[in-house]
Parts: sequence; structure tokens; C-alpha cells
Amino acid sequence: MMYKDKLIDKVFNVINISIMLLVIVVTLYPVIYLISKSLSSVEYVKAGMVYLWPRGFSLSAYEEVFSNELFLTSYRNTIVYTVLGTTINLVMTTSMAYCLSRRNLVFRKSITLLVVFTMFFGGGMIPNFLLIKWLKMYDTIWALVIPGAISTYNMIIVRTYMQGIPEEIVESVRIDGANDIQIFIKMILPLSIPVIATIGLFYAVGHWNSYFNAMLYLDEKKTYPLQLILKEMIVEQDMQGMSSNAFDVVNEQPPSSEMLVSASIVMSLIPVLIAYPFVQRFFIKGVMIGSVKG
Amino acid sequence: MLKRIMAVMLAVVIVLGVTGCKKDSTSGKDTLPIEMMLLGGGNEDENYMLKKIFKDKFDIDLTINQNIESSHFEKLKLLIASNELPDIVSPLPIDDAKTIGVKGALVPIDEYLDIMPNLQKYLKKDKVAYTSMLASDSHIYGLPKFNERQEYMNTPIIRADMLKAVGMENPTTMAELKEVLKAIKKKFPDTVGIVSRSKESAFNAYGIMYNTNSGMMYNKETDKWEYGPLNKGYKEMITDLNELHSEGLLDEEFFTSSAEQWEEKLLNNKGVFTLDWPNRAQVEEDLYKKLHPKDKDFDLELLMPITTNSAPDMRILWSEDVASYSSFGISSKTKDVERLLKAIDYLYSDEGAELLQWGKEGEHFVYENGQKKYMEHIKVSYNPNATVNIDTAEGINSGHIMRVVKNDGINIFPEEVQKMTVKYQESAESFVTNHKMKLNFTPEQQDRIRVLNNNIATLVQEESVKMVMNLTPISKYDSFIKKIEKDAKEMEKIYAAAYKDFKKQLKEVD
Repeated sequence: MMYKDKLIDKVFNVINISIMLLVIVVTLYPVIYLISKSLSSVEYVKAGMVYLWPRGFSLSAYEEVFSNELFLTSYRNTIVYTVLGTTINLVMTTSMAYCLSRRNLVFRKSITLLVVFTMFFGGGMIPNFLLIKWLKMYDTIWALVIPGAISTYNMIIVRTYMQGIPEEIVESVRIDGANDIQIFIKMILPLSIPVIATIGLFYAVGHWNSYFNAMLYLDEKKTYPLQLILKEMIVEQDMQGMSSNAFDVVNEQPPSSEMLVSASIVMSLIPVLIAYPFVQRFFIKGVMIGSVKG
Repeated sequence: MLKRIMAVMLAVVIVLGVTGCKKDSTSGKDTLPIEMMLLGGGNEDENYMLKKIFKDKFDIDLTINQNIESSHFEKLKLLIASNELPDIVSPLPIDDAKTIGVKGALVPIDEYLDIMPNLQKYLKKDKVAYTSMLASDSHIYGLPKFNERQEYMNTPIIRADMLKAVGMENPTTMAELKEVLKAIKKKFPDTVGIVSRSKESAFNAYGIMYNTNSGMMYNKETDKWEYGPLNKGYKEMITDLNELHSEGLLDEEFFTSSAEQWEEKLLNNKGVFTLDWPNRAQVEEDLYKKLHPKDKDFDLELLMPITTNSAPDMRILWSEDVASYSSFGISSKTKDVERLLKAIDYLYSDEGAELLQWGKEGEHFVYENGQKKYMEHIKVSYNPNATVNIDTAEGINSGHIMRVVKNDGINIFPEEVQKMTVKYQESAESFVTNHKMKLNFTPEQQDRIRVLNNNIATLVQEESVKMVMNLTPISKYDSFIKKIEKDAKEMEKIYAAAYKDFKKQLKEVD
């Protein structure tokens, strides 16, 4: 019996590890491919001769990307939007979640209902656009960070977490003379770090990857975020395939747009890759919230 | 005392405030702020030629917001729906301009033609363009662009080295092309014959050789609008492509290859024949030589257009950036429309057109043997080490030129392309595109066309691809035509009625 168990375990491990390796390869290959393409010479990329490692090593794509002022400006913009947006998100989400987690809040259920309502019903693109215009937020950074200040879904996660903090602890601090703001800042927030880190990552990645609102609400190119510039590069690359005109073909100089897109994507991945390990330990804790009851 | 000093200071501030508005020293008018939404990817600073012209000559402070194709049209839809159009939109597709113009969103340009002598001159010259611009209320809501520069599209390109290796001459007919491809396939079994990056539009690209198209087209020979798949050329095209595929002379990925895949096939000695921009041959040759410096044989050569039984005369598509396709639209909310239109009219003048197409003499171009030539720092084929992209850096030779003048400068294309261009001009007939002539439909006709097109367009594409790829037997061609005939004929009738009105309007313009 013991032997059988061990054999089954071994078989399981082999299958498990094989599947995991496959998943790793499937996930990792596109990234490696992008890196290799961005570091290869244009003729090898165009001839489809780059598979795993760079061929005809060249940094021309990165040189071009870094000499592009618009890319650098957009990179800086994205960092600003992400930091400011995430800060606003966290302040608004945690403060609202704290209020709604307190059982003694007046009209708590009605307010929660109103908040949840926004999860299912929205104004639509045109009314939102007009609202942004009328509030004079059009073509400003605020159009990107204010309308989505609270994600209802994330707020409910935080509220649930805060509800789990024993009422007795809160009561004891209150007896010591702390008011609600002190309780929130000095007690609840430090106890909620795992969930804050988790939704902070959600928000930050959301801001980092978003382009649609910027496309609708921003006019000036120097205010564009990185992802919008990337989108333009990718679409332009496709369009070049379909409708390039004779003048474009004459102007086509190495590195190719395919390589520029690869280099830009690699550059846009780096900050997220750097940030993730630092948040990871909170993240695992945070996503487990609510999974164990009783 | 203090109160008096304060009062005097306040009065001075008020006077300064009132007189401090920017004034035009010559006209005495305020600077006019204008917002422009432009399709393009260049910079938006003061160097931008259009900005300079508007500022220096008309005291118009132009703010340009540029978007690339997908963002431009997505945003445009939103701005139209929310009635928040900027002062100028470029391009505004003429059909959209007509639709929203009639509803009052755009300025009717025809009412201002008296103050636009340059535009008036070119509209009178090109009556087809003029009539194409007319909306259902007989007003013009778009400012047309006139492009006189001839660039050929879908030119036949063949691997001349392979052709030489099998000892055959350049093919001139489809039958000869088949024989050539067969011989090459025999000698080079790894080749895949004809390759394409046009996907389903390949039917339109190859259709030119057969005087056909996969949708509605104007047939110059019959002077009628026809539904392409109903004419004999379409059947001949599908049959030919099917035969080529059956014999392994048409790439299996003919309808699915992306531009990158297509390029890979050319560079990996798989593709033998293709249709593309003429200078593509040189671009691929250069890349191949970098990859295989010792292989001197690789030779892509341009051919004269291939003829067929349905179209025995050579015909080729001329990429005319058609007047009515890409137009400016002026929002009816714009302040001081007259001043803005005067500025735009300047862009149609010889001086304005030259500034936008070539820039300034000595700064952007010089004269060489009486021909304009871009200076050394500007990227064109004859300046291989240049670094400045004149389009994106300075907004010259960009999408907002209202009139592109032909043949007034040194050709930017390689010698081989230039020679072939002359040959095309001498021997091949220009295939008339559908864009040039824009018929005016009533809203009811538009709705009906939409319904009919929905009924048959997908079926035509799918069945055509299936028959070429042998997924549906070619013997079923006639039953396929029967399925679409009724709707196609109805569409032809609507077009015939609209074309009759168009001709009438054309006479009235005279």
C-alpha cells in the first residue's frame, strides 16, 4: 500500500511538474520572443528567422525608442498617472470601506445598495464624455484619475476585510479616547495592509495598462500615457501592412516597426516586473480573504 | 489718499486688461483660436508648417490634436454623437460630412466660395469632384483634397532570377503567368507561387486584371455601376485562382497571410509573384542582400500589368488620393468662419500648396536642374543618411495638403520604379477606382443598400474564398450567383438611379 501510494505520488508529481513546465513555457515564451525580437537585426526579424535567441544582435530598436521624446514623455506620464491614480484610489476606497464596515453607520444598507447599483448600471460613454467636458476635466490628468477613483468591487473586498477585524478591538481603542479618524488611521489601516497591498496592485496595474480613457479624454500627445502610444504603434504596424503607401515604403528604415513595438513592450513590462515581488507576499495573503469561513 | 491711489491702480489694471488682448497689427482683429483634430503622428509644436502658415498669415492660433487612424475615427464618432466637434476635423469621410452636415453640424462651404477663389478654381476644374461633394440638400460640407501625384498600386512583382533560371520571358497574360509559375515550381519545388498580404481584398487587387471587383464598381467600358461578381471577369478570376491553387501555384495562406508572413515568404525564397507597391521590390531586395551577402542572384522585378480574357488591355490601379475621400470639415460652432475659410483657401493656392508639400526653399528644398529636391537632412530615397522625417517633424508632405502638385520635383523613388512608372503611364490604362465618383443616395436608398449588402457581401467573400481554395467545387459557381443575383440586381438599380441624378447634377454644375 505504502509502495503504491509512493508510485502514485511520483506519477502525480511527474504529471504535475510537466503540466507546470508547459504552463511556464507557454507563459514565458512570448516574453522571451519579444525580448529576442527587440534585440535582433531588422533583416532577421523581417525574414521570420528569430525564434528563441536574438539573431544579428542589435540595440537599434532600443536606441530608437529612447531617442523618441514622445516615448519618454509617455513613460513619465504613465508613472505619474499610476502613482497619483493609485493614491487617490486607495484613499477613497479604504475610507469608504471603513465607513461601510461600521455597523453603527446611519443608512448603511441604503448607501451600500447605492454603491452596488453602480456595479451594474453606468451612464454610458457619451454621457460620461459630456460630464467630463462640463466638469472641465477634459484634456487634464483628472479625467484619468477621478472618474474611476473607487472600484466598487475592490471597495467591497476591503469592506469585507475590515468587517472581519473584531469589534472589541475597535471598542477598546474608543474607550481609550480615540475618535473615528484616529481609529481608521492608527488601527484599521495598519491591520489592513495585506488587502490594501492587494487592491493597490490591482489599481496600479489597471492604471499602468489603461489607454481607453486617455484616448477619449486627452487631446495633447505630450499628455498621452505609454499604453496609448504603444497601441498607436501596434495599430500603425498593422496598418503599414495593409495600406502603406509608396512614400512610407521609401521611408522605411531599420529598425522595423515590429522591433520598435517589441522594445517598447519590453520597456513597459519592466516596472511591473520589478514591483510585483515586493507586493507578492501581501498579495497571496490578500487574495485569500474570505476563503476560510467560521 | 490711499483710496485714490488704489482707484488709479485699479483703473490702470482695467485699461491694461482691456487693451492687453492680442491684436492683429495689420487687420486690427483678435487672434483667432482654432482647434483642429488631425489624423497623423507628427509633433504639435510651433514648427508645424500648418500652424506657422495660419499664425503668420492669418493670425490664427491653431491647436492641433493628432491621432492615428483607429483613435481618430473612434474619437470622431464620439465627438459627432456628443455634438462636440472641434473647429476643424481632418479627415472627415465625405459620407459622414454629408450626413452630419445636413443636420447643421458643419459649415456649408459652397456659401463661402466667393471668398475662396483658389478652391473655386479647382472645383470648377474637377466637376466630378464637385458633384461628388454635394450632399442631399445640394450643399458642400467637406473641403476636398486634390492629389495630382501618380503612384501606382498593386503592381505585379516577380522573382526575375527564377524566371531566368527556367529560361522564360516576362509573362504578359494570365495564361503565360501560369506557365511561368509551373516551370518555376518544377525547378524550385519549395516555392509556393503567388503570395499575398491583401487577405480578402485580394479579390479587388487581382480584380483589376479582370476589370472586376468584389462589390459595387463603376465600369468605365459600359458607363454603368455594376456588382462585380455578376460580370464575366469575376468568374474568370475565381476560375484562374482556383486552377492556380489546384496546381500548387497559389499560396495556401493566400487569404490569411499578414504583412509580416508575406514578407517572410518573399525573403525565404517561397514567394514567386505578388502584387504590391512598386518600390517594395527594392526594399525586399536590400533586406535579402543583408541576410545573404554572398547570394547576388535574388532579383525582384516589376512587370507590366498582366492581361486576361475579360480585360485584354493592360490596366493598373492608380493611387489617386481622391478629392472626396479625405476632406476637411468645419464645425458650424466655429467663430469667424470667413477668416478660417480664407486661411484654408490659401492652402489651395500654388504658394500654400508648395509650402505644405515642399516647405521653404533653402530650408527644406533646393532647385536642381529646375526641379525641386529635398535637402540633405530630409529622409527620402536619395538622402540615405538623412535623419529628419519631414512629415512628422515639421508637418510637411503630410495628410493635410489640400493640393498635391505632380511632377514638380525630383522623383523620390528608385530608378527602376521611375522607369516602370513612365511605362505604366504610356501603356496601361488607369483602373478607375470607386472613390473618385461619390454618388449621392437618399437616406432610404442608403438604408436599402445597407440591407442588401448585409445579405450578400459576406456570402460573396466566403464563397469566393471557398471556391478558390477548392472547399466548394467551382462547378457550383452559377448556383452561387443565383443566390446573390436578386439582391445584387436591386443594388445595381439603386446605383443606376443615383448615377442618373449624379449625371444630371454634373450638367447643372456646367
